This record gives sequence, C-alpha cells and structure tokens, in this order.
Amino acid sequence: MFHGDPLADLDAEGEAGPLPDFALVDVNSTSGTFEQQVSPRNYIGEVSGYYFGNAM
Amino acid sequence: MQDELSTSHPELDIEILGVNGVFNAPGNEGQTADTDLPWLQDVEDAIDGMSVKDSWDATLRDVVILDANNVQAGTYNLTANDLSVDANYAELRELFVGIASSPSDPSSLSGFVYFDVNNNGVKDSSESAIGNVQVTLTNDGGQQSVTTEADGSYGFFGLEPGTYTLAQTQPALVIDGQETLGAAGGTAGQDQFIVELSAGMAGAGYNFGEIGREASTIQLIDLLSSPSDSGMITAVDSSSSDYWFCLEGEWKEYFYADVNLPADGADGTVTTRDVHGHDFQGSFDPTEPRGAYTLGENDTHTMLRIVGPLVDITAAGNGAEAESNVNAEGESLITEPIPVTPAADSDFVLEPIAAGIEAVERPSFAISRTVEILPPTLPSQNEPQRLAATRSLTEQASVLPVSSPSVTARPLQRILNGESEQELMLVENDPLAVDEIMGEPIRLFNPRARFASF
Repeated sequence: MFHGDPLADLDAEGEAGPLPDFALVDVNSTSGTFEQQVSPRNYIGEVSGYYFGNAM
Repeated sequence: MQDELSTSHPELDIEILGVNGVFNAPGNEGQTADTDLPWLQDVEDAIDGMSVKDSWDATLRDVVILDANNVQAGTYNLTANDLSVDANYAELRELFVGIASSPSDPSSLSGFVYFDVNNNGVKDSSESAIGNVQVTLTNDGGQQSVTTEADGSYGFFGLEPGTYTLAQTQPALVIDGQETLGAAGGTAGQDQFIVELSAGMAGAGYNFGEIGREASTIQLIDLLSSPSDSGMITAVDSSSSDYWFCLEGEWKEYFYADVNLPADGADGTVTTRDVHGHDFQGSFDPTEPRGAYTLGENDTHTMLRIVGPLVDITAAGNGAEAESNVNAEGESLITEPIPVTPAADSDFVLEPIAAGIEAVERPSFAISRTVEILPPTLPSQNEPQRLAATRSLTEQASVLPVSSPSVTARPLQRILNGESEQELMLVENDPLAVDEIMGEPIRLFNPRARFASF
C-alpha cells in the first residue's frame, strides 16, 4: 500500500533530515498564494502533503 | 480532503498542495478549476538542476507527506490506492492526522545581551554581560517576556515549531550594536530576530550586542577604572561635547597618559609613556570642533575620552626615556569598588528627562594629580599590599530596562609605604566636569601595562 521508504532518507546519524527545499510558483488562480513562490519552508511547523500529479 | 481535515481537526495544521509535472504546464488551468489548493508548477532545475519530483524521488501520483520539520513522514500513491475507494480515502486521511498528532520535541531560543565593545558581532570572553534587559518572544500563540540574568543570558524553552519574533527592549543609556543570528538561522533586524523553529531545535546564540554606554553616562572615572587593554572605554558619540584623545596603536602599549587641560583655555597637552619606557608628547586645541567620531578601539587607534567640549587631541612622539613609574611624592593611588544601589540613594539614579533619557547625576570624584589604577589581582607578598582594584563601570553596571541603571563608584586610596589611607574624597552627587579638572594634570594609568611591569 505504501511505497517508498522514509527510512531511506535517514542521514548518517540515523535521523531523517528535511527534504531538499525549493520554491515554485503557484499557478492556481483561485489559491491564496496565486503567482507567489511557495516553498516547503512556508509550512514549517505544519504537516504538509505534496501531490505529484500531471495536469494533462 | 483539505476541507474535511480543516473541519474535523482544526487544531492540526495540515496543508495539501499539488505539484504539476515539468512538461505539463498547459494543463494547469483545467487542473485548478475546481480547487483553491496551491498548485505548483515543477521545473527542470528546481533543486540543484533537478525537478522537485526527481529530487524528492517521488513517483507520479505520490502524496509525499512532510512533518512539521519538513522531514518526510510518509508517502501514499493514489494510483496504487484509488481515493474513490472509501477505505483508501480514510487511510490517507488518518495518515495525515496521525503524523500531525504525533508529539514533537520542544525547541528553544536563547542567547545573551552583552557589550560588544569592538562591534564585531561576536561575544568575546572579555566583553561584559548586560543583565536585567527585557527580551520578548512573540508568535501566533501569543507573547512572553523574560529579563536577562546577571550573566546576560536569556532563554525561552518548551517551544513548539513555528515562526517566532525575538525582540529586545533596548536598554536605556546604551548605544545599540549588532544582533547575531543563532543556531536556528532566520533573519536579524534592529533589536530583533525572526526565526522559524522546527521541532527539537536548540536555537542558541541569538545575541543582542550593544556597543557601550552612551557618552553622556561616561566620565573620567570610567577611564581611570577601566582594566581594558584594548580600548579604555567603549562608546559612540556624534553630537555631545567631549574631548577625545587618540593613541596611536593599542592602549595596552601604553603605560599611562598625562592629560593637562589648562584652565585659561590655552592648548591642552598630553604625555604618554609606553610599556617600553618611551614618552610621547602632544598638544591640542580645546576649541577646535570635530565631527562624528567613535570611541573605542579600531584597527589602528585607541581612544581616550574626557568629558568636556568636543575637540581633537593629537599626539606626537619624541621618544624620551622614562625615568620613574611613580609620581614625585613616591605615592600611587588605587581604587576600590563601592556598590551603589539606585533605589537606596536617589543621588545616584540616572533619571529620564522630557526629551529622552539622559544621565543627570552621577557619583564622581574630585581628582588632583596622579591616579593609578591596578588590575583586580593581588600582587605578590613582596609588593606593598594593594587592595583589590578595579573593574570598569561598564563591566559592573547592570543596566535596567527603564531609567535607573545602577552604577558603581569607587573611592580612591593612597598607597604610601605599604599602608593605605583614604586620600581623595568621593564627592557624591557632584559629577566630574571639565571645569573641575582644568588646570590640573591628570595621569591615566593603564592597569595591565602597569601590572605587567612588576
């Protein structure tokens, strides 16, 4: 049911580190952050889910 | 699902975003038509020349879930788990809730408020702490304040992840210096930091630096009592009336400086003797104004400050050999600290004035001839007993956050034939002014250089 192993992201000390940060433009015109750069850093302190889709 | 989570678990901060494939931008408009979730357009070089999807090692239709520290806490693939199946939908929802509900390690923010006398943003071991300064921490959850301890330290502990603003209430009568970011990063502004804390972060080292006390609070006694070997006092003044004297090189290279301010307004004179026994003489015009200047040590100069109208005192050397380290009477004078409690004696309280904060009354001394300041180290038994001497007012002052910095006064004692006696009187509530020392030569001893000569 789950794929990918979060433990694979463990660093050398055995503790998982943050995933690499980025900043992408929000292209949803009805979103509150439309046309703004959005980064995972904006969600530190919260749980965030990133759905990797293909808008065809 | 975002709406459902926000409704069913409003106490949990859960945000769902979409990331579109690199080459699928033309479909964005259709994809976002019925949602207000952020929809991010991935690019080929989003992270070190890779797309986000590749960098995160994600598969198409993955939901990658990050915890409050942006650590990957789970992945759920919607191709393998069709969300139209109720059980799958519920499973993903509970995955979000479970991650968001797991307790996180508390974090902390801490640091010091200190006199950054060389204004380099580094808390050097020789630099003094400032106690009793208010530091305030603010985030969405509210505000809390602490005051720094005697060693200048402060701390906020048990913090949840989030964005915090850490601010210092600038101490009265103190010149603002640099702020230095601590271990958790963030941004530094004037007297404040903005820090994003993850769980379990020990955000130490958020230090508020102050250059020194305002010039209006510094008197000749500060010069006389400073044990510093890298600049006698630390202050910046751009407007007040001050004499200043610029020593070439570092103060530790000097044994003493004699300053003579003639009462008739004639040129003043200054004589210095370095640790190698060389005398230097110079003169200054007490009426020549000078612009903004810095007191303290810089790369090439050390400044001495004497209260009075602002003039430039320049020195020139003649290389004469030294003859003696004591005055003509063979006596030397040292100081001994006497704590002054502002609350108990209003004469020593620095009070605010309508236009701002200004020191109006300070303990001081009537100074005649030669004064020697010794370091706070007992000499050998072969030496005449010398009472424990000095630390500077800057070091001892505990600057209160309002208008009453505590100050420390020192009586002067004379050491003559190994015995001490009270010599120069402490003139309470009688600030030392230039008028009082006009016509009297003043010798400023460097305590460390003097001590090193034993």
